[in-house]
Amino acid sequence: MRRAGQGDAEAWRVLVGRYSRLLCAIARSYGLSGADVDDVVQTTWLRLVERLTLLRDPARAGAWLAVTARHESMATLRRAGRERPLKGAGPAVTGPHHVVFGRDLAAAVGAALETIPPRCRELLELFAGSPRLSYAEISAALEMPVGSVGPTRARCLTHLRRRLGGRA
Amino acid sequence: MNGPSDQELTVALRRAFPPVPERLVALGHAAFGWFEPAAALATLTSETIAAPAGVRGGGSRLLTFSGARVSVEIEVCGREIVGQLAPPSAAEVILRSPGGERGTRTDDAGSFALAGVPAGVVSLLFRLADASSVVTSWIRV
Repeated sequence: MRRAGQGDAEAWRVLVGRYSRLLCAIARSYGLSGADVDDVVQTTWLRLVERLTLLRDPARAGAWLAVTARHESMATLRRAGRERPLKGAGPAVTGPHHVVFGRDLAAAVGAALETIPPRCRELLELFAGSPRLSYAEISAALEMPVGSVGPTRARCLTHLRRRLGGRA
Repeated sequence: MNGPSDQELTVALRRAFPPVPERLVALGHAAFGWFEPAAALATLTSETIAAPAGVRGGGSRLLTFSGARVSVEIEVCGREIVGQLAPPSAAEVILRSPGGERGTRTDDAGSFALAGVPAGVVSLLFRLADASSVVTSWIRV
């Protein structure tokens, strides 16, 4: 972030590559989709650009982006006059589960992800899709204490394994 | 152990989540084009609805941006922005938006007007007579 603040476009591209999924996942966690997600992601990056030379602690870029994306998601919801729909609206559990292996596994995992709590899905998405995010950044993105990230991930994987029909 | 191994599950999870749409990544890249390292930031400090929405749904918004040396008040009404720089000073005013830039100048009293403001995110850039510059934080209009 310091290099981007000195005008280094390549450093900026690294930031975008690293945090785009985080911003996208946060916007979707507020029940936003389509153009609303675009709005949140765009505004969040613009907010970082306007403060690039002011932010004191470049190591906390991810946490700052996460907090800003949450703020912008709520602003988008307010603008649209909608309620936050996701809280407590867990998806229905689906039918019998099978033991699956090999190339069918990704599809089965995709289906199983639809049946676990949304927060678990978000956490697993951040781990899977942004492997370079630190626990501190994931903790900021999901608003959970940093010490809970590891145990929660383990619990979510157990959830997922149960849905897949394997033993935890 | 009937289920997949940890490694199999990790690989499957990576495949299960679709890549971030290229469109969204492009929005991130484009944002850097508006980097103005020399400009002082005036942040949004208040926003009020100036008039109730009329039959055409067009209430106007009053927004105040405050910076270290300069503050800006604007009224957004439909696709028009009228504004006032404080303290009053001569400045070039540039409306920045993903749809392109448009410009005007403040009058002697520091006020300005812009028409045809595109919907979406916009920010104002002021180039002052003393060669310093100020940007407002981005707002959605």
